Amino acid sequence: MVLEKLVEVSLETLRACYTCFKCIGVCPAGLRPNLFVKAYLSTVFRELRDVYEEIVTNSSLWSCAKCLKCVEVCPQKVPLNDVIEYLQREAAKRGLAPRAYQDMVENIMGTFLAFGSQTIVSRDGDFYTTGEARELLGLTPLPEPNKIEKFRERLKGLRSIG
Amino acid sequence: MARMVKLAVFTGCFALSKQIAVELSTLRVLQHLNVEPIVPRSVNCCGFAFRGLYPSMSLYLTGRLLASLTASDPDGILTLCNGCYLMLREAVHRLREDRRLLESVRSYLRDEGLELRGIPRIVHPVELLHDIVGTEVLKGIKRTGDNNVLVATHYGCHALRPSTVPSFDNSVNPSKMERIVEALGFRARDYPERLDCCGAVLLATNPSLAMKLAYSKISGTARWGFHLLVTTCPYCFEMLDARQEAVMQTFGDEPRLPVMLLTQLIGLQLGLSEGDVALNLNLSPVDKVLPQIVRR
Ligand code: SF4
Ligand code: SF4
Repeated sequence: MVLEKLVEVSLETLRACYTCFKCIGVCPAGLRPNLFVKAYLSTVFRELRDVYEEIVTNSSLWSCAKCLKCVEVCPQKVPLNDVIEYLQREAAKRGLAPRAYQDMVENIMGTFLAFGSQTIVSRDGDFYTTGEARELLGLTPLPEPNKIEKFRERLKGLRSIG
Repeated sequence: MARMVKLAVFTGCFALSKQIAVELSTLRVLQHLNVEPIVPRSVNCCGFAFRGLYPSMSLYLTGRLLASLTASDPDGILTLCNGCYLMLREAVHRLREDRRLLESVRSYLRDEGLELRGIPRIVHPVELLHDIVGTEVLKGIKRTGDNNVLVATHYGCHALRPSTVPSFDNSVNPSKMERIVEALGFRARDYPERLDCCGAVLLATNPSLAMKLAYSKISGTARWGFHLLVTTCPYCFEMLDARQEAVMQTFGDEPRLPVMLLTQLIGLQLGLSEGDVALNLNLSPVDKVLPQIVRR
């Protein structure tokens, strides 16, 4: 099945990086996106293995705000978002992925949605649960988790392949 | 009069559960704009947050969503959240280009009795207002208040970037939101922080950095003398409106930028009440600007 192995980043695009540092200039999180490119290239060029180790194990990978400014500014059209996501998967293989994503997936398996009921506050200081507030405003209730078993099994299968 | 446009509305997890004024104000406003919204009950998360970790799962979730949302055969899918908008426009783009991928997604869905027949048009709220409803119609809305109100627009990162995936406006110099604001009788102006990130994605992994990004966006915008900032995305709204007080206090500053949803502003211009667009749920200092918008 094609869904089981979605395309990885192409090395050709990656080699295009000529270290102009434009991506560093625009990154609001203070990251150096070009280093992610280097780390990715280490899958081919062994001498970059140190960069790879450094990047995959340090927390900068999870400090990317996904603002996509680096992607937009890169004169060489390096798909930095794909690069970062690839490295995040590598980090996840070592158990370094933040817990928050797991929780969202678990929630989806139980309710179709990433989040359950929240507390909604008004400017006057009133508190409501999601259900109360939606009802008060005449909005439909959240979807019911009917017939979710098959969906849950499917997600479990897909989780194991990434 | 043109035929009524029928759009399936996808609200998205966060707007469904937390920023509910997004859905409410959109539905209220659409009643007046010759658009028929269909709000399907059977939806699921688009998979945006963990797209990097589980790309196949995310694509399956997005594909499943496309199938459920097109079941009623609408003219398009209106996505209220920028994260969902990116997921859907990207999926549609990939599935159009890659038939094998499309067949693969279809066979997964068929197993569940879902059919992905055509590939629908994905519509952003700004696109709906600017291209489908049209600024001429917005100009005709009964205007209240004072047209010296200076409005900052906030599109949000995933409405426009990456430009490799088609969206509704120019990714480096968009203008549709400004034209909407002007059609409503207000003033809009470019500003250096216009395309900056609200930081919301980082809430899950690095909350203090998320606050820092939001602070830079809010305080940067506020210094140009805007009376109001408008956005459509529930996550941007969470960072810029709901968390504004916390964000500003973290950096020893005060909340001072009124923030509204674009659909709330349109609703007020249409003469809807504050309650109709759930303005009591805005936590930024909107009281500062309300007298200039609503004539009491
Ligand atoms: S902007 Fe592109 S080419 Fe320049 S350093 Fe960054 S990734 Fe390399
Ligand atoms: S997408 Fe991530 S790495 Fe790129 S500029 Fe934004 S925060 Fe920095």
